[in-house]
Amino acid sequence: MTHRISGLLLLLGRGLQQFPLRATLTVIGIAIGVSAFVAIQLANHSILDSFQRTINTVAGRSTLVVTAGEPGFDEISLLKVQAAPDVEYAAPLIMSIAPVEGRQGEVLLVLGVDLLAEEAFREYRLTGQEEAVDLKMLLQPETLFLSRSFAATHHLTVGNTIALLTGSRRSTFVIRGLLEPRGPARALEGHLALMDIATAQAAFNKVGRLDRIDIVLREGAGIDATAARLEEVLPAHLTVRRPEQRNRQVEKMLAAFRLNLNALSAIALVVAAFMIYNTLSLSVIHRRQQIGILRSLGVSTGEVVALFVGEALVLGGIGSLLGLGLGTFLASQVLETISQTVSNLYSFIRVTHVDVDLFTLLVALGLGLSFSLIAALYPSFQAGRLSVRECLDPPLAGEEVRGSVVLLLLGCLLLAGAYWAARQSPVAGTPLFGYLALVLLILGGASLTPWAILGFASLVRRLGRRVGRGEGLLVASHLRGYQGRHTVAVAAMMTALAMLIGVAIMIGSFRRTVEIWVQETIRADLIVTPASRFTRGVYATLPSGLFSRVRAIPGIAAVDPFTRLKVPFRGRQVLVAAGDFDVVAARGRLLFLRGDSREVLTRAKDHEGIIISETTALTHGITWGDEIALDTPTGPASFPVAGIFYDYATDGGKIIMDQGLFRRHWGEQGINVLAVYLTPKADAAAVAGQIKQAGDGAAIIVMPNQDLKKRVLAIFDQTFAVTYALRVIAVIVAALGILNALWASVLERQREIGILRSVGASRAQVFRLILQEAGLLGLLAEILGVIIGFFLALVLIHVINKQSFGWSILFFFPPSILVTSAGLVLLASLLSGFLPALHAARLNVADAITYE
Amino acid sequence: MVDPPMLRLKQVSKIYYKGPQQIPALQGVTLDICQAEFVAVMGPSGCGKSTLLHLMAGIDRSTSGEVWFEDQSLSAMHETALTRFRREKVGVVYQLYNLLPHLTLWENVALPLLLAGSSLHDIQQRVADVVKAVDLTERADHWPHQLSGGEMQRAAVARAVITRPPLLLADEPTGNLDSKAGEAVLGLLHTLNQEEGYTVVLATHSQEAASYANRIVRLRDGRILE
Repeated sequence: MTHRISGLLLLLGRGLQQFPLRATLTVIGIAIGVSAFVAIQLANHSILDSFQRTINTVAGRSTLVVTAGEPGFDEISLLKVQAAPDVEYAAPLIMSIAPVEGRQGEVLLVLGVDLLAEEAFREYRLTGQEEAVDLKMLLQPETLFLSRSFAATHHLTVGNTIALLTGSRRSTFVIRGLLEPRGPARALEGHLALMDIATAQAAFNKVGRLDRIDIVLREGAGIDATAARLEEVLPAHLTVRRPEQRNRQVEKMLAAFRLNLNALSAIALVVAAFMIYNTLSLSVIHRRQQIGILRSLGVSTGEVVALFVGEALVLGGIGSLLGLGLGTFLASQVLETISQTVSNLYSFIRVTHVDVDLFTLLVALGLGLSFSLIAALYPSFQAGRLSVRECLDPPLAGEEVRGSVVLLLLGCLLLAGAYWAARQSPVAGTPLFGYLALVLLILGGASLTPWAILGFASLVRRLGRRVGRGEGLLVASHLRGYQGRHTVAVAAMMTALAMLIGVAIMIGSFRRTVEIWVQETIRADLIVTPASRFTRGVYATLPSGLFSRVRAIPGIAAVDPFTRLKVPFRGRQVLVAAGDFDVVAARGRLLFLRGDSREVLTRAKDHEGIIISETTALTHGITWGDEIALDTPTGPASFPVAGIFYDYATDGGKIIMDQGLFRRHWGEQGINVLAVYLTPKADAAAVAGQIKQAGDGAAIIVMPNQDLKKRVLAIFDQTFAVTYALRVIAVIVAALGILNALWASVLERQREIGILRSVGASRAQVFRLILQEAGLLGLLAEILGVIIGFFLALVLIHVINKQSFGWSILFFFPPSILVTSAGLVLLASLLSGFLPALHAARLNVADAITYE
Repeated sequence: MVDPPMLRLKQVSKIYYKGPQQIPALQGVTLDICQAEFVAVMGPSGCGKSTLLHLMAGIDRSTSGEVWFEDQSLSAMHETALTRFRREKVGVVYQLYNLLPHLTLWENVALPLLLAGSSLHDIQQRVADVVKAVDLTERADHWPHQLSGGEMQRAAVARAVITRPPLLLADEPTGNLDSKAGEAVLGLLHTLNQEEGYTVVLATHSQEAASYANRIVRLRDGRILE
């Protein structure tokens, strides 16, 4: 038995040695496919991990946390919490993100803590000190502790000063000590500044207010019961949660974003699986004679199957292992781009290194091997089914070429299934059926590929015969004759192209939609914001009094003061905003799903209603006329929905109301943005200068209309940067597939090529023949890719994006995608056809036509 | 005055190299073949018959010695000229038919003309004539796998003569056929030689097949025994 196994292993090894190039190409294909998957998984994992680390390290030993969204809450609530029977310790906290002035893109997480209450919650250690920090050092005004790693990166030390943008102010602090990387000092990868709570409140314009209260309960106290009791005594807009619930909230927030990237990264893996299938099919064809000999020597069907499955697993295993290494490297390359996107879209995050998660690597290895195994099964069983006679007889006349009716039916069934899946509702907020529709579309397209090749070949053949060009006829005959083999290469290329085209149409349509939206809705001539406003996670208001000073500047026709707060709503965060509906109705514009902007806004104001973003409506199943209940500082309140508007600025909900209504419920909250409308003859630059002067040295930005529009589109483009990279990877893998298939078909057709040469075909003709074949395969893949890609785009736009993010995207077909993809595919297929063509042209005729 | 030989081999040797090992396939073969001759090259398997035909057909080059066709030396020909020679001057019929499996019979026969870029009208006419001559008109649109061995070989003969080459080489053309089909193919070659003046060189180990020839050349271990 042992000898038998070692015999099979010997054959396996020899088999791989026999076609080293093909084995290498396959391994590379799988390695790239697996690496794309690993890179995205690891980057996603690292980001989520970093979020959670930040949340957990800041939470420390807290068992419950009281919050009220971005604006915080009155510190009077602290007394109520401290007075609650089961609360052992309660610590107030100011927690804010602050950009570091003079250091582009750098931010710090600022914690303002009650020095006396901290001990029970968090531990800090200063560099050079063995004991826990004496926080009293922070009692001097304008001082802070800085994490050691941040100080080292920026060459700062004790005694130096550091300037932070705290809301619309510029505040300078003296560094009193450096924090060792433990506890909260590890948050945001060591981007932490610690202050006394009073210093922080003053700096962030939050005097008398808190961002949260951390609680440690007495031993034996029921956590959920206490939370419920606290919620009863506290104002309604405050929530009391376990700290780990915030982790789940983050996971929820990032779920759709992560799923999108994961789905795309899996495509490269699917394309790689096509390569394994292709390689194995070719291996079976090339080793027919060998199989015959083995079978005649007593090797069983099962052993033949095992031989080929073994080959796939060896190739898949080597490719996957290489992919793990390559993927880990790639993860570090894409980490910054992805974390930047998350920072732009969701919440500020800082991730500096890839957290190489063993579980992710094992999953990727498992997937690489399983895909290889699944892809190998059919060709391996085919090998097992071959009869000895079939294997040993010389191929004299070829075989009947027919399209499989089963595949045709299967293809139609899969496409029908895709149509069905695309019409299903999301499952728990995730477009699971949408993804199923994508997979079914691709598989359906792949199943119909043999028929497409036959049809295409017949067209080329007819054309070839009509114009009497022998080469066209030959190319067509090869396409037809080797349809089985080409199917896999074309299907792989088609899959990659369809994804490329589908995603490109989706992104193109999305961009175009956002362009139109930006054009239509950003109407103010100047936008005034705090300098720190464009960092996600920063809650900053403009200096009080600025609004009235700006309104008085000559040349300004109207000003819309915009206030926004992030508040909890039905288990998620939602943005509640307020503006002057009269100004917006007269001069601005919102795009409503139904109704004219002016009319809806006026109606909303008159009826004390609110308008909500499409995302809010879809996520929570809210429609026109519904009443929305919100917990406000003045108690629970209910608002009728007067309109639903398109919004692409936030991933998450947005609720807007008139400023008067807002003030009644939330009080004076400070203004976050001023939208300034100029008189027709006003000089925008001059007015901007005057606004800055009115700011009286505050850190504010006055942005012209065009700049804001550009900024929105720049963030958009950056968001999709990784998607572009993933698409290119899929095309590279597919091109390797075509090279693999062509190379193999040239090897297999040596005799035919010999015959051609012997009846008068020149080397140049043979060379052209193979190149034309490569080009035609590419062209066919392109045609199929465009068709399937078009439908993928429809699913991505109308099902996946809609269900994941709640965004309505208008469908635009950018003609440039046809040119780009055709250029790319032609280049890829001709490049991959070049080597096989050269090999074919140089074949020795006499050797080629001899059958041994 | 006697016409000069159409094909002339002078001291032709062919050695195959397999690693350090040398395998002589032909050794100092000198042979003249005149226009319209029907020559049978006989000998057991491995005696060098196929190699000899490959050298005559310009699909392989000799290691030493020269192969002349009319006044041109094949040994000195550049690859392009050799391709033209194969296209215009010689037709070859193989034991395994060597039809392209994914072309119909019509297309297989037309192939050399298609590759030469002949006009569609000429191709259609010529293929119709030749296919009729080999009695396969009815089967013209069939695929090779739909034909019998004899039909495939007759189609191969048709392809070999489609460009009206002066020289027709047949390498064991009956080796894979039953006796009846074999006779039909040999009869066809005989007719082409007798009625159309083709010069035919037939490699065979069958005495019966050789009996169709005017002259028999015997090969053994790469040398002519004549």
